[in-house]
Amino acid sequence: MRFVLVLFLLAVAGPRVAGGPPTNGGNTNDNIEKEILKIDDEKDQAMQRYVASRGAEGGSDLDRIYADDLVFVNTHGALLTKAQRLEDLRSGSLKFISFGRDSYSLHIYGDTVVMTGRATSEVEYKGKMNRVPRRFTNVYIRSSGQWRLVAHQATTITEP
Amino acid sequence: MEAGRPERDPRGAAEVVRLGGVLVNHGKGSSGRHLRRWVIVLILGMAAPVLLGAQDQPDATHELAIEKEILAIETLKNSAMQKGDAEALEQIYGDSLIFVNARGQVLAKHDRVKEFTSGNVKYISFRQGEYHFHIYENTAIVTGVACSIVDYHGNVNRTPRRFTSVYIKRIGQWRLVAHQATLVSSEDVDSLAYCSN
Repeated sequence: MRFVLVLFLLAVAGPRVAGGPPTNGGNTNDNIEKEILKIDDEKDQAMQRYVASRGAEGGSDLDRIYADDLVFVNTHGALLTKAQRLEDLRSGSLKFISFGRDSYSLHIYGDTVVMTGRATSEVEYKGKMNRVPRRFTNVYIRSSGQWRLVAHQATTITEP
Repeated sequence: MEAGRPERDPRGAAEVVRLGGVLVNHGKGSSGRHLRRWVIVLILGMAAPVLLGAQDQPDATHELAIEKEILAIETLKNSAMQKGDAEALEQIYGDSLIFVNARGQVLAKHDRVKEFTSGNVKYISFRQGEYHFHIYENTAIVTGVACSIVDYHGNVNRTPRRFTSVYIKRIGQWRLVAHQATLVSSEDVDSLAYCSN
């Protein structure tokens, strides 16, 4: 019976022991940081192309990077879905005068990365110019080997 | 051993066929009972990682259970914030917490806890809800609305805030690792039925 018990424990634990501790899909945190910065840059570039072309360019990249269940809270405190966010970008209500991010930090939790940073882009939104820096949080989740943005929130910095 | 090829039971009593790792008994008698036990053990052994793995892709029931867990933690956290219960907050906040308040200031765990113990944050009323959950394996993202009236460093804030909280489960415990709040602008505040009711 003891043998059976050992066998059972081995059968249960085997795949996990063989897999060892979490390895982030074979990536080190340095690699993950590079991947996140790359995907975040791709997102920003695609967003600028999408806005400038009124949705004619960059859409496929945004569709790839934005998770289908994205939750997006803009600096006005409005909660947008992926479709609403894309429409907001496509509608022409938003114009980027300049684009920038002057600091960021990453916290890596396996297949989840929390990125916080300070955006310095100058934007015109619904006719109003906004030059005030914003603090943002981006949450990326890796699923089937692909990092996707699942949550974003931005807050205007009123006190440094 | 190739799948489907007969082999002898190690105890020599019955012929077995290995089908994808499951030993199927073709024998009878006491050794048959023994083999049946083996079969059960191996099926459980094979099923257990699958069942455990099922947590990696949460189904609706599992998601609902997680939502309840997170909601319970949110309730504890909200209570601790109102009481200034630093010990409870220390348990709920992850050590690497990044907290972005509605002014865009970034606070670490220590700074955030200190706000409550120092008395710099006082709730005149507390109301938080309209939760939406997104569950991804060991990550839970919660968005919601706070309509609490709060005295923050001597300034009373009555403006509703939209927030996003990120919980990560590690060693069996959910912890808040990121939170950000944003004031809801005057154009959008009317759409917040939760706060106007």
